[in-house]
Amino acid sequence: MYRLGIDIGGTFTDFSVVDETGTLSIAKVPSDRRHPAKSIREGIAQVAERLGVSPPEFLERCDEVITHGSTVAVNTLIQHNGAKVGLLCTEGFRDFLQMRGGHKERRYDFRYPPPPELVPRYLSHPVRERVNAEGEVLTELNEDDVLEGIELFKAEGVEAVAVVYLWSFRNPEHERRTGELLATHMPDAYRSLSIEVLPQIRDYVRTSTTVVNAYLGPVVTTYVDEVQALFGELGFGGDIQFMLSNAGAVSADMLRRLPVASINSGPASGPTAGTYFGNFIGGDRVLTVDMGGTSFDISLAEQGLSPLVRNVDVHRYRVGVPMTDINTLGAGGGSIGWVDPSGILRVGPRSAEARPGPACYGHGGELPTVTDADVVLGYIDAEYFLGGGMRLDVEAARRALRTHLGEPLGLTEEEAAAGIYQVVNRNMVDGISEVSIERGYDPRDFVMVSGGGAGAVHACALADEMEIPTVIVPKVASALCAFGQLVADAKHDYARSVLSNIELLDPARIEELFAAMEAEAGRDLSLGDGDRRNGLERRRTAEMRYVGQIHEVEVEMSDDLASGGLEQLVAAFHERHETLYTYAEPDSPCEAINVHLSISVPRPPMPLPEFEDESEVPAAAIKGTRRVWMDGEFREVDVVEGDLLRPGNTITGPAIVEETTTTIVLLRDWEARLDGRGFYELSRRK
Amino acid sequence: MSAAKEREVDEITLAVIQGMLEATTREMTVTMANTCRSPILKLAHDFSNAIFDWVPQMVVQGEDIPNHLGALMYSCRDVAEYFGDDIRPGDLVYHNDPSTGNSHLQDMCVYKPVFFDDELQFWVVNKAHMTDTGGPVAGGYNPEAREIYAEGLRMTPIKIADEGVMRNDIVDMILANVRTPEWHRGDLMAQIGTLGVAERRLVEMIGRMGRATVRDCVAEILDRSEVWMRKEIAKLPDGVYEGEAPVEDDGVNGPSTIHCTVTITGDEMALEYRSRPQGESYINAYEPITSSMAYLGVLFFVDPAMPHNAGIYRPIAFDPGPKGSLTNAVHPAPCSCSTSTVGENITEAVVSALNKAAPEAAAAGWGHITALIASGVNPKNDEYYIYFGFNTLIGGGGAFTGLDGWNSLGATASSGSLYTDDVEMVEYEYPIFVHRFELRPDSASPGQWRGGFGPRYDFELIGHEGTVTRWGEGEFPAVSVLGAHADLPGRGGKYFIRHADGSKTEIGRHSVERKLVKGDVLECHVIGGGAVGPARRRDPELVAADVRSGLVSRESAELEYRVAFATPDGHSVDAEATERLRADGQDDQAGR
Repeated sequence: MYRLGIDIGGTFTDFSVVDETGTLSIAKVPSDRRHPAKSIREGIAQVAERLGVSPPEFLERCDEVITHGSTVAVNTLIQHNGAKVGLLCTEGFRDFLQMRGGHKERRYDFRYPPPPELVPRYLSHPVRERVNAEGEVLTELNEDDVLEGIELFKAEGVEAVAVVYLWSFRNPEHERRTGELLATHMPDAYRSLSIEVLPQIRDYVRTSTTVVNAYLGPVVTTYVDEVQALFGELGFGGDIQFMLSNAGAVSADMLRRLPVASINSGPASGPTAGTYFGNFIGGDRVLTVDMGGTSFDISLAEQGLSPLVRNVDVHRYRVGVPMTDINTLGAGGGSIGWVDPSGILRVGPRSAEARPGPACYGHGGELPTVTDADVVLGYIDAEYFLGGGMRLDVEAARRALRTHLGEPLGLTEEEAAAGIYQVVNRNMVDGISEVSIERGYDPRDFVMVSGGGAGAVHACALADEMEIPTVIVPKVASALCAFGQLVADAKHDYARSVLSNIELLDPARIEELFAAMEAEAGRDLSLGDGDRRNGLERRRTAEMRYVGQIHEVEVEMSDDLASGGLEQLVAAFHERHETLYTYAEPDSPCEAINVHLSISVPRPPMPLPEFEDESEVPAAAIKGTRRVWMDGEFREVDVVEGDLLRPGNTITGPAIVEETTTTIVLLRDWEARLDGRGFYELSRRK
Repeated sequence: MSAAKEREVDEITLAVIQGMLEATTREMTVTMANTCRSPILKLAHDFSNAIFDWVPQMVVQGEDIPNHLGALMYSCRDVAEYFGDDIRPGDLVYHNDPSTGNSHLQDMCVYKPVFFDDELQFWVVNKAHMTDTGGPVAGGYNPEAREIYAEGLRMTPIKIADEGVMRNDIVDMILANVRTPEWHRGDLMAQIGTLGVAERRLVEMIGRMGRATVRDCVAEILDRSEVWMRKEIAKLPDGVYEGEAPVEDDGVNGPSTIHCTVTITGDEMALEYRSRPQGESYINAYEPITSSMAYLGVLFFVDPAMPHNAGIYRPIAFDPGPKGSLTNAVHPAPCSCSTSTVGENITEAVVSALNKAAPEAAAAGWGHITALIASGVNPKNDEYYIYFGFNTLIGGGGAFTGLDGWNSLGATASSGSLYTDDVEMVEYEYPIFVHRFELRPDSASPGQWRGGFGPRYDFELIGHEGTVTRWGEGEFPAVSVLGAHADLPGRGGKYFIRHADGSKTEIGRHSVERKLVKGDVLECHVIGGGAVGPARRRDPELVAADVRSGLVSRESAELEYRVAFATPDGHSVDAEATERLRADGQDDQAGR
């Protein structure tokens, strides 16, 4: 049996496969941006070939579930090629999207334009209706207004309709009825109701999220259909699961209903993979970094849980559905080194992307990138890139460094390369600080898991800066997210607004809300009544604040609110507030704004290979030496061929360990031990 | 130009240190945003952070709120001078006095000296707008103040911590003087925490990079920023440019005009302000706020990527005008409103001059800030509340050549750092019902590049009687430039009490605590943004799109934009008829 994970990235589509003996293999094919399904076909052929079977045979032997993450949703948002959307909204409140909560991202860039509108104002159709904060109907729904909107939308060729009324999460009747009218009179249009997408307080966030969902709906639906058709064609009869931004895997149907929840599904399974590897060495606090072509993704996980964010701008559009908190920096292999107008060396956020790519790729790129620097510094072997699958043009890299950095700054090519390396490392360290130190975590308590083909070129240097003692480099580092999908649980997150002072909170009402969320989960995750329900994991949290505060703090909530659970909740809130913000006010009243339920169905454990540790490094594994830049100078160091190492082998730095798709730069104070479970454990020597 | 360089700076180390300094201010901003308590700081983000060197010269200012741009340089200098050698590790200085470098009393600053090996290396500063200052009017904006004494507690530089030990006696005295001591304490703790975070980072940086290296790099960064600014100034044509900006009646002194002469000579620029004598009203600007608002206007015309440090201001000679004038007020002039009125007008005066130097990059005026503050006793819990109406003040942004203004963004001085109130959250938190919150048609000034639209915001206090105060100006339409002008009225802000019987009472500028009765609705017609260029040069298709959106009326489209339509719904343009309409008469150059 095989388990297959597929991650469609902007540059490459990654495949990760494990068989019943625990043997892992990966494949990478360039992504076809126009027809992502094509890359799937190509990758499966490649994987099957590697395993020595035909594609149909391979799929026949695949587990009933294939997990799949993609950038379709986010690319649609970036390229502005989503559906034509109409919005039905409460009369008098038509412009939440245009007003953007008063927010302009760049305060000193006075000429920074607003983002393109997802709904032109003339397609924001006001409807007479009004519910108040208590959920009472003050103005009945005017169905003629709805029908008038529908006529307008039909005439204008609207493909997707979003419905957002004030306080609908308190009284869903008007939105529900509007949905019925849409189903009757505009049956082909994609429908996105705020009571289904984000039934919680905050008008702008709810409106924006529901509209983005409508904007993505038709595109993502078509994509899901294509993927299902493709697998059907290839003879796969099982279930295909799709990743969402919260690192949960859900059904195709769920993704069609909630595409907005998949915007960050690509990198979301990075921390899942990080946690998996961290567990092997007893690290329950894991910092996962994943260096791709254009970006560097950073996330934390504690006891297997990654923090979620619920109110962020994604490519300038506000999204309120939960997403794994991933700090994405413009610091990938393609990030460009440049000199700012005051003459200071900078790296990123602009990237050479897949095309033209770094200068050394020889696709016409002329600007110096991080990859070019890594090549000139000797970290990446120009002859052994992708296991020799692609030759790199060192002279082009040197030329780019010389022309764009060396000459303006008076540096040699090597110095310019070292400059890029140090500055990008600095940016990465600052990005790690943002998610750790700034949120009350000490990075020294964490194990760092380094993903991405070139991630481990930088990992030791980052760990040195952050004083992180241990780094894990999985053999599948270059397809970390695809691997994460192999171990991701079926999972979804639900939310309801509570809006109550804790002293007035009625536990029975809260339990009703949780029961409603649980019923939804039963449907979404196809829980049925049988076995799938047994292993369920539930996590209940509440977003709380002191009365009058503006931002909420999320705290765990027990299953037993009626007897003692409320007191525990309040105590947990004070404690969390103190941890985050250095103070608590135990005598101040607090209130609950939203409650959340996260339900997951754990995956069966991954099969693990059997192996015995050996201490002696096979002589053949030492390929030779190479001149690389370390500790401020060039020196000859050993180059080790990773594929020939045996479990238990330890390599002492300084050295380079080359795997087919990833390279480890082992600095002087470091050593790397190959673990038979598929990773290198790098530790700083005492 | 600065003296020839003697220091040897390694390019890579320089880049790393610049990155560390920027990351430090980012971390300061995040810390402050996460920990502050009061709505003004949380929603309006009315705070800023900066790092100064030992001189003290400003090394980097965070991307916080633009109207604090230059003022911190005055106050940090004055605070450092005030204490001289009497400054030690662990000291914290508190301060809000405009006569010693601050903007207005509401902005309270905390300063922390950063030492390494017993030697002063840096100053870190946080400035934050506090909810109350302890004067006769809650919030500190007192339209009836005739002297600064009527605006609240005035603090010259004072130590609130001595070598790491908090002076609780002083802090308690300050808290005893304000209406919202819990918010104030929380905000002060947030400020202190923010500076602690910065100190930790800077000490770590010096430890790692070495003291001499850091000093050399900081000096180099300032020099290079200066060079960058000089290059930007040199792109503007040499000349003497006159600019001006109108000031509305402040309730005491009547309307007036602020003048600014900009002289560009090679890579240097001189700004010279002239204005009427200071008056007995709360709009007077002391030199620090005048400098902030003037620099803000200059930054409209340079590369936005430029760092914000003392180096970029070196090539600018700044003269706020004669002592005792509106733009260079002296003690005891009241000044609580000066960060909006006349601060916004000060920015517009320099922009109006620079528009003449660079019409291809011209900028219009933004909707001026004027706000309603409602208060009462919540009938549900009998508690007194103050509702600071952010949605009553977010006017339309000004246009630039090539770019329409942003909608409902607030003033230039905040430029997108001011958030609106969520309608549902307002209705949940306050005994308030919101009748309407959406963009106001025809509020944006018409032009080739039109202003942004301001909102209409109508709200009612539910089941109780309260009061409403209005501060700030914002009734004149926002300043339009390069031939843009409006024929129809209604661009400026107007505020009314709409009574249950349908009649309306206007709430004028600078109104204090007007009584409301049950059923009164507060009707806010918030100001729109100013425009650039004659309206009859605007692409007719863009006008038709605005008509279709319902944001520009048929009347405005035909009369002001001179667009003729082929269909009665105003969706499609009659190109020929439009051309005829537009050829009739000349571009009106009367607008500024």
